Amino acid sequence: MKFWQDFKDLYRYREVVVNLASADLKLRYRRSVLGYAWSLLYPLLNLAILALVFTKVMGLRDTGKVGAMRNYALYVFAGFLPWNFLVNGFWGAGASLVNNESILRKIYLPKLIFPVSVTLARFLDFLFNLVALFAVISFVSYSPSWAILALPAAVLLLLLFTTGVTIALSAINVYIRDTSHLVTVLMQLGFYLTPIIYPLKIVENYQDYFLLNPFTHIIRLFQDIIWQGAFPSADEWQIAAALSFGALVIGYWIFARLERKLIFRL
Amino acid sequence: MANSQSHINLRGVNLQFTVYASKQFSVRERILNPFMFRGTEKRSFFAVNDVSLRIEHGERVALVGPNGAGKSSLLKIIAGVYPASSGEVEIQGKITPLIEMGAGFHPELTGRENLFLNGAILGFSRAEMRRRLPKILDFSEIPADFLDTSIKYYSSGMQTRLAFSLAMELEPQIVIFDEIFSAGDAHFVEKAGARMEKLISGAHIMILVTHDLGLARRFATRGIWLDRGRVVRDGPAEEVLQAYAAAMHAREKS
Repeated sequence: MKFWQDFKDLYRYREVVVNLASADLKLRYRRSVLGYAWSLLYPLLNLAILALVFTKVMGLRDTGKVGAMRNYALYVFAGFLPWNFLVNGFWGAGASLVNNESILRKIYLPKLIFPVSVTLARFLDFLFNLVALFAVISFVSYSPSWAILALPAAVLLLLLFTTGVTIALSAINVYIRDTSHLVTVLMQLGFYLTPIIYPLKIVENYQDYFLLNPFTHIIRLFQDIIWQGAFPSADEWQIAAALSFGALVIGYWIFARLERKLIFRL
Repeated sequence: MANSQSHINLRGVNLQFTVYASKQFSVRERILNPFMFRGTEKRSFFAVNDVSLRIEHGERVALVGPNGAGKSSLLKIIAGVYPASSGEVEIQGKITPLIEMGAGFHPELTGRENLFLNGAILGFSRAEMRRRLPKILDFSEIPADFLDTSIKYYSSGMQTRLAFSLAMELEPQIVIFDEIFSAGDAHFVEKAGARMEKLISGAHIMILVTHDLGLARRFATRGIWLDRGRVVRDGPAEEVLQAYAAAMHAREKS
């Protein structure tokens, strides 16, 4: 079966995947002064700005709906980190086949390598940020609850979901080059349509619409575990798992269908 | 790795290219030109036209032909880069295409990083690359302190030598060369030629695409002349190359 063959190929070329991912990571910050620290600074600075804007400027702090500023910052961070991974993954991996057209036209390489390696690089960024986040918040008297044990599962679902989407995007983007740009804009919209900087409760009457947003369910796992310190409910796990595996399966299917004639459009 | 027999078998292989007005569907173009009749702007042609070939273990083939004859396209079908539009492609043996060496070289990465990356693409693990690194460095005559500099700072000669030295580490079963010898001083070209001979003699099958007939004569036992996607002549190297040279000479005169 093709899927199995593709998976074996990916394993056979694993060194290339790793090399490409590490090249990606190295190149991102190679000539900048702060270097890799930017990977962490970016979400931290964003968080600082958001926290400042929404608490001081909008006075959310006193509304009681969000609670103390520190609390809010934690909430935003719990949602922002996985979101950041999603966006970076979609953008980078989405363009990966197009960016590597010159090598694809010279030597046979399993095309999956490219979106997978970029997603892997972004995933490592995400893990690094996650560790850094915990380091930072442990300084502000955050004590993780047992729910933290559920974190690896949430991370895995996030990875599966993102991989599925990026694989499909990378192939679609070869045929319709606008896709990358379209996705960027949609994700900007998505950021506001997903309860990251506000809690789901705020949109009480429209909650159902927000629950239609697949990102909500993935992000929610992280918010539950990190901010609430609670295990996500069985329902939440089920929906997130269905979305993740669904994205992987559908994403791969789209990719497989588009793969064969891809080369002629590069 | 079992030292089994390699062979290449092509039966009625076609490669059809459809030339679009522009390769991708663009939303912008659709909006600006709603009445653009894209359908009529397609042209298709056969880069490879009904080619049937058998290349057996031990053969050294020179593929010659004028520009646009379909030589590179045929090689790319064999290498698995292009899928044939129709026909059967049967390949036994691992293929190592050396189509534009340094294809995977990334200008921002260092020499060392590029070697590991391209080594992986060509099938070498990190451990193997570490083992081979000194030999590669030695053969390429690149000073050790350059190894950790971005290759964009290398001269084109250095880049070629680096790529070539890596390629020479391979022990390919089916090796495909496509127009590789360009930059390099006389000394290196001489050294490289000898190294190439060693690589080729160790390979099961070699296919060389070149316009340099001297090079073809040196390495090939069999010649295949391709023109406009079809096989014009296929036989012993000396015979085919001579016929081809004569035809090209005649064409120039007319």
